Amino acid sequence: MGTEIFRPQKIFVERSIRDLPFTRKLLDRWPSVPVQIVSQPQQAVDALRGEPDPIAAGKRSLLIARQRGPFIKRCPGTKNYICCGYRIINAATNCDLDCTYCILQGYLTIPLLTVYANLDDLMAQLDSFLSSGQDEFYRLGTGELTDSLSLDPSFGHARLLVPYFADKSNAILELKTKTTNVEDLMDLEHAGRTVVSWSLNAEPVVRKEEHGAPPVKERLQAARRCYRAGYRIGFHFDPLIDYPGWEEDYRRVVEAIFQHVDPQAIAWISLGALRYPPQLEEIIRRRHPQSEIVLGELFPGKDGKPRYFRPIRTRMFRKLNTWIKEHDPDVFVYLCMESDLVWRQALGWSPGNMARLSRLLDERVKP
Amino acid sequence: MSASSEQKKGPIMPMQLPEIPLEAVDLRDRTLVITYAPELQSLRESIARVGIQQPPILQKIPRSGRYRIVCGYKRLLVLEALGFEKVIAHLASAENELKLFLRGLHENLGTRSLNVVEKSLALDKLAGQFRLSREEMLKDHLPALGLGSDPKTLDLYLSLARLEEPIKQDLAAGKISIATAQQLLTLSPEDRLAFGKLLTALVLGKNRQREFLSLLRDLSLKGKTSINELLGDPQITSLVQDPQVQVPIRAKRVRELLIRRRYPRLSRAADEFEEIKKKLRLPAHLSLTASPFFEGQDYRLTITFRSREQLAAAQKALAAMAESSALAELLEITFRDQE
Ligand code: SF4
Repeated sequence: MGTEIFRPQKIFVERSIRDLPFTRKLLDRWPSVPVQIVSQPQQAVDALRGEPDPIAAGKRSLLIARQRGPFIKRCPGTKNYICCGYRIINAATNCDLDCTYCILQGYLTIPLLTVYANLDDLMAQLDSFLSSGQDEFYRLGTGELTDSLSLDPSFGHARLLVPYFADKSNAILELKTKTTNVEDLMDLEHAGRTVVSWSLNAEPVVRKEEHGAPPVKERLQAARRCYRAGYRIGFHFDPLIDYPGWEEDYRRVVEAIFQHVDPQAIAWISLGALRYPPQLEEIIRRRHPQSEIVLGELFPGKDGKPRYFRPIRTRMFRKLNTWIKEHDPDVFVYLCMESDLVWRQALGWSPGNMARLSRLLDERVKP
Repeated sequence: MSASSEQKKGPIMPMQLPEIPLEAVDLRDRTLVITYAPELQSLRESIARVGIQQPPILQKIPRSGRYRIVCGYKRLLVLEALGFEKVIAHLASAENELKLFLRGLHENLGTRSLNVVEKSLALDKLAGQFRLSREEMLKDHLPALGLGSDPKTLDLYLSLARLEEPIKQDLAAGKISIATAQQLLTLSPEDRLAFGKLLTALVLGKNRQREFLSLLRDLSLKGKTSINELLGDPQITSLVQDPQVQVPIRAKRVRELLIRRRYPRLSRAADEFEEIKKKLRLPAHLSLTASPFFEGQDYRLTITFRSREQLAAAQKALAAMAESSALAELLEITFRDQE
């Protein structure tokens, strides 16, 4: 099973960008889908009112809009935990998959699948951003507020961004996905300046919690294709889920990684345990009553977000790190949004702060 | 005025209203009645003293010749209880039933505040018995009951009307909060009733109700068992029914047990921490706490003193603590894994 081809049930187009080439291209792609022109995105949001599950309805409706804010933002990280100094390219938000734990369910003010059509502004902002800090190195990714490749067959962001980053010496692009939509990447000029990374999980978690996403095996086959096409590869075990039997299942995924990809090609593997903003719990319980993830031993962390009891996550991180290092001790493993204490307990060392972790990750991908 | 034999006809009213034999009034016919679980004591005292100031409104049912209550259900219950034989009442003309119902409802609204169940019954009758449209309910009747005009509120109140009687009684009496009742609606009738019994037995406040319900719901999901079965567990029933201890202590113990089952690993760590604290033999005016949920590795020690001697004693206790092997154990638990 691959990722299903996306087709919206309704398209909302913001009036001010309706004649841009990107908008026209998308509308041509789905000529029979009803289109409504709106003067403000809020009108599209209002159209979802009264839907029994506005979040699900939002995933079936596409809003083509103008990005009025900056396209490039700092990853917000989380208070009192070490984050990795990432930059987000906000070219689209929301996603057609429906993971039970997805924080976007409670985060987006516009709960529709939204793509920004003013791509000239995006490229201009990238130009000015990357030229303003020539001495710095940047890791940028499109996969924080969406899945980088899930809708890429329609949006074509990779086709625009991968060649753009190919000649940038002070930045790397990361495309983060759960899907197998890599066909378009195969013929692109990337010059090693793009990391394609996969969010991985234990197979029972994929089946129960990652609705619409392909099985791990297929993700790894897609990773192999990208590796063979010369891309650097990343993996993110995030969120790790604690359940009886997790060890066996996660270990299998680690084994499978190394059956598919040469460790030399792996830029990094990150580990992050389940955590979410407090208000998400109610949404998960309501939208996904069959999910058991909220039944774990989760307590408010130093940022107020529920996360697993510290010894549980430490143990999970330590085990995964050990299994990975058994295959190749040089693979760079890092923790996502964790405390110095957990780093030291789980991995035996800690970067101590964001700046150092950021530098270490930069080193992995600098030309 | 007491219900003496010559007064068994009911109160004397200035207007000429018909006297209706009380036995001709069908007290079980609640077609137009929304009063639920009424508190009658003060009304009883008042009627016994000064009679009825406001005659009830009745509707004659031609088919049976009996009378249906439009308004004054509580007054009629009291009159019956006090042994009156007749009642002076207004007779409603044969208006349509909806009009009569609204008349009764608004009379009630004008004189007292309705409890949650009464509001839900009123809406349920308007929707079910009188087949009013959702729009009418939202526009006119929900606001009239002081409930705003949110469709979700309407749905909630319509669902509350379908709760089982014991739960409705607790809700009407304010023993169950609306928030708890709303959550109870997501449970099976058996689970609801079992939880209702627990509430009655342990007399839980509103926050505790929410906490207990959430613990029980999670435990039932985790253990793939029903709340009803969970509450039938001998360990829980023996705590709930323990005649040796007072109700608040029973509630505390049941709560602790539920937390232990819901969060076994945190509970083990907390036990271990308490054990080590005991070994440290800290005097009462020194209190030691771990970081919330053991998330960090810091411990906090608080010294309370009111004299030089107490401070000196604390200093001594601290010195002993710094040398103690239990301190090493304490510092080490931060780094312990759990299966
Ligand atoms: S793939 Fe990512 S963005 Fe999409 S639903 Fe899952 S977690 Fe959310």
